[in-house]
Amino acid sequence: MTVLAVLQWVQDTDFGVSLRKSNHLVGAAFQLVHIVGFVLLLASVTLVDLRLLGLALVRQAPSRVIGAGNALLGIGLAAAVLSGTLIFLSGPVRYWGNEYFQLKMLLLIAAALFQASLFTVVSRRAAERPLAGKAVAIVSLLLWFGVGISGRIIGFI
Amino acid sequence: MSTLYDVAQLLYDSEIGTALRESQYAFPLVEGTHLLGLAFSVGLLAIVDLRLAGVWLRDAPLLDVLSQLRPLIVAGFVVTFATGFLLFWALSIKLLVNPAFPVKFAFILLAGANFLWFEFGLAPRAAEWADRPVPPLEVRIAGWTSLALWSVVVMSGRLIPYLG
Repeated sequence: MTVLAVLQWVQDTDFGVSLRKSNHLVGAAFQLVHIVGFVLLLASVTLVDLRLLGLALVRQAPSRVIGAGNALLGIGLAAAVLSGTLIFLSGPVRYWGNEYFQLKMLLLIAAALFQASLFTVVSRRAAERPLAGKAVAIVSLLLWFGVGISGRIIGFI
Repeated sequence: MSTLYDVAQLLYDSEIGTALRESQYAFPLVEGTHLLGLAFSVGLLAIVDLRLAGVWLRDAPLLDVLSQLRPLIVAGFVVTFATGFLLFWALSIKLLVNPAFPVKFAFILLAGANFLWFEFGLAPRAAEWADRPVPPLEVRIAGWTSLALWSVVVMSGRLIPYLG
């Protein structure tokens, strides 16, 4: 049972069909939630990473900024993933075959795993080890904005 | 307003406008920068607004949050407005007949007015209220108003391709 076969099956379910045939403004609404979600996500990632790089909110302890940033990141990520799933389900076979969608998904998984593991561990000690904090901040920015850029390219290719 | 349409027609027919509109890479790049620039402009501003509303990161001194994020937000808006102006240059007459565009532009002006009210009406006396745990009502209103107005800007911007 290939992935493609499963996606074709999903696409042909009643839900899949009704999604695809729905009014264009329904799709626009999903995309809007997606935009708000990822703008919130990217803004909180930017804020936390700028703190780790010593470029913003420098008088706040890194752990405070990270803690507060995580709340917004969680909300933004949830909104982006939920709306993204619905957008995906409106055309699963087509998205699956798009190489920039594939790149975006790989970057998304990499970004999320990195954020949850190495980033969390290193940033916790950012006050004592600022250089390591800066390193994970740069990787974090590249990964998350990479998701955003590849997502934008999907619409063009 | 026929003169506005005439100016738009001039922009649309210009070499730069046409080249940008028909380009394979430049237009997507400008549009993509406009969109990702939102993270720095509207996104960081939303975070400042949440702080002004007293909803987020309450123990960070308000003046710190305002003054340290300001340069980043200004830079973000410079990029967003510059790319927005280029997009208008390329699409001008199409945008003027699109119902979403005047709404977007009107709400940008309203958001600008709210910003001016905050900047010149409330911020000069910030030392009086910046250290309070909950900012005064007008400050919180300014924060929520900013969030609401920019949300409408983003929404109407998203609708432009669908209604044009």
